[in-house]
Amino acid sequence: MTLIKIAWRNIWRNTLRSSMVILSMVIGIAAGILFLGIAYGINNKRMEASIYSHLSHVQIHHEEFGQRMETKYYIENFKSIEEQLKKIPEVKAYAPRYVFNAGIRSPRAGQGIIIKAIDIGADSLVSNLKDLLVEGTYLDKKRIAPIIIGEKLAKKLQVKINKKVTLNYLSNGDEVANRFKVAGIFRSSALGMEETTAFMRRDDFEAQTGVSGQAHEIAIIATSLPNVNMIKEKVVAEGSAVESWTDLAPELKLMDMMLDKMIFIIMGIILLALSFGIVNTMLMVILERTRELGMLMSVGMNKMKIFQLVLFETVMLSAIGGPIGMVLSSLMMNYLYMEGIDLSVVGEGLKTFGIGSVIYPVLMDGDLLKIGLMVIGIGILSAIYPAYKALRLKPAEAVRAI
Amino acid sequence: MSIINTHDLTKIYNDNTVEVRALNGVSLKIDKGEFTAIVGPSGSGKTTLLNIIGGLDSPSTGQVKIGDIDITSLSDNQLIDFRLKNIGFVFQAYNLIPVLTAKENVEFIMLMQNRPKAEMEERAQSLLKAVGLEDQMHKRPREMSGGQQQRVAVARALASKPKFVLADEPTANLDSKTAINLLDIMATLNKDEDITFIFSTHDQKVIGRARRVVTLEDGKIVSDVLQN
Repeated sequence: MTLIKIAWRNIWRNTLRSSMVILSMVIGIAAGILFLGIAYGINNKRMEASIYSHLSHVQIHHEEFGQRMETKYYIENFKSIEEQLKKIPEVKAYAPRYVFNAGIRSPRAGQGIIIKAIDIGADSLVSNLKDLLVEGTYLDKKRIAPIIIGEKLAKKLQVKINKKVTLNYLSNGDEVANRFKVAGIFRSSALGMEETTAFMRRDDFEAQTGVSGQAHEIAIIATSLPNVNMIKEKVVAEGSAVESWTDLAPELKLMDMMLDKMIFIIMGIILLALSFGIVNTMLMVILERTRELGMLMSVGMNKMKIFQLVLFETVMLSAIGGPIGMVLSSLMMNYLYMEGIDLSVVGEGLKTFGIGSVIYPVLMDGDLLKIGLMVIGIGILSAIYPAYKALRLKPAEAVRAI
Repeated sequence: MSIINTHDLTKIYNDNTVEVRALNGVSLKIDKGEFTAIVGPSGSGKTTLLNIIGGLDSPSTGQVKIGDIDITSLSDNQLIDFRLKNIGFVFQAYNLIPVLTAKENVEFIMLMQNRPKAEMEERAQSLLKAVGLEDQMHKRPREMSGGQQQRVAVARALASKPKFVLADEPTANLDSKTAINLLDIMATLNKDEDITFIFSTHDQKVIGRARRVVTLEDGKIVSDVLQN
């Protein structure tokens, strides 16, 4: 008990120094939390951009569709799968789509693309295509079938809004050629999407081909990310492939893992810098109190107690700095979560990742506690070397130190 | 009956270039209840001798027996425990714990000996009274004069009920009046309570108060005189 009392009073022998250690812990926690929050915020935005622009959380296709994207590979038992999806509570929304290869031509150029024929009502619940539009309107019913194309494709075809293009595609072995009017132009960060994907109405496709009540793809949005796998497990779809966004875009998962590693490295650097600061401060403390420690050893204080005395001081500093840092970081994160961080200075760079210029930092469950405990832990670990140095003092010399 | 018995002590400091013989065959017996001054010029080996008797340093050769125990054969941890139970220390620079009050400083040693709280309080108060500091008990070292701090250090040294007290230049940082006052307190405790004091000094006034004066020169005892 007296050791704790001495340690506590020792802390306040040099208020400025102790305050600096506490402040460095608070800043360490806040910096760690902020970095983590921004990293997760950017990652979430990037993932959301991919999920809502083209991936969705889960996709269902005919099992052959992934290998050979041919129009004949409609999803088997589409209606029964639809019925299942309506009953799965983890499904927030789903949208059936026709997906096929087509040739698109303008008077000046042409190229092969992927067409997604969507039900505009259902699809607006699983995709943010509407938000990606930079020109024109959504796929409202028109006399000439509307089509939405990417900005890059529009440039390549040298077409603008309301200009006409022709689509050629095969349906059940028959070649279909139809004229479309460019209703909208979208911009997307998803790799290749602007150049290779276009959207048309599902009912236009059905009218042009005579196909009805079928789908090549069902895009599903889950109520939350952790529920994605539950949907995968619950859907019974013989002859179909049920794939999650991580199956469809493993590179996103890979980037996720890379981010985890980067966070680990940068957190390590922050903690290392913090620990050097604490080690330095505690070594100064030992140096200043050499004579006092020498006296304690001389009069019979055992090594374990000397070690504890030095350690207790850092534990107490950590016990003060840790909670203050966590509370302040929590307040800061709440504010930033509401207000966002305006990064418009690097807005163009962020746009290439499909992220807006305002980032909303987020934390995973337990992150605050984890970072707080890590900083406190580093504080305590940093005291071990100075405490060890204290043990190495020779009482006869230490007691006469100047 | 001697409580300290050193036999042919030598201490050689060797910094790889020059060999310094701090003690050179020192044999000394000190009986219970003695009030002994170790004197000599600077570098004569006074502090080295006290450090070795106190188990803070080890001799290059020779033996130190405290009672029946050869402390030169004890391990570091055994020595720490031995010092706690058997030796009281008074240092030149007082070396009190600055964040504790006078009373807490005195109690601290007893706390390490796991004494009951009531006993600690009672003994700390009576010791501080004995050194004339009953009205300074709750002051911290920085609020006291050098002489008062050194009296607290004497009370602290006695708190553990040691076999003897070692005081290395206890008056070196005090003015002569305060130094004499401190010596008087130590002499009274020695006389009334039969506490053995061994102290080093080169202050002639302090030497005059000792009952036995052991003089060291170049690491050797050159005289050992009993005074009235």
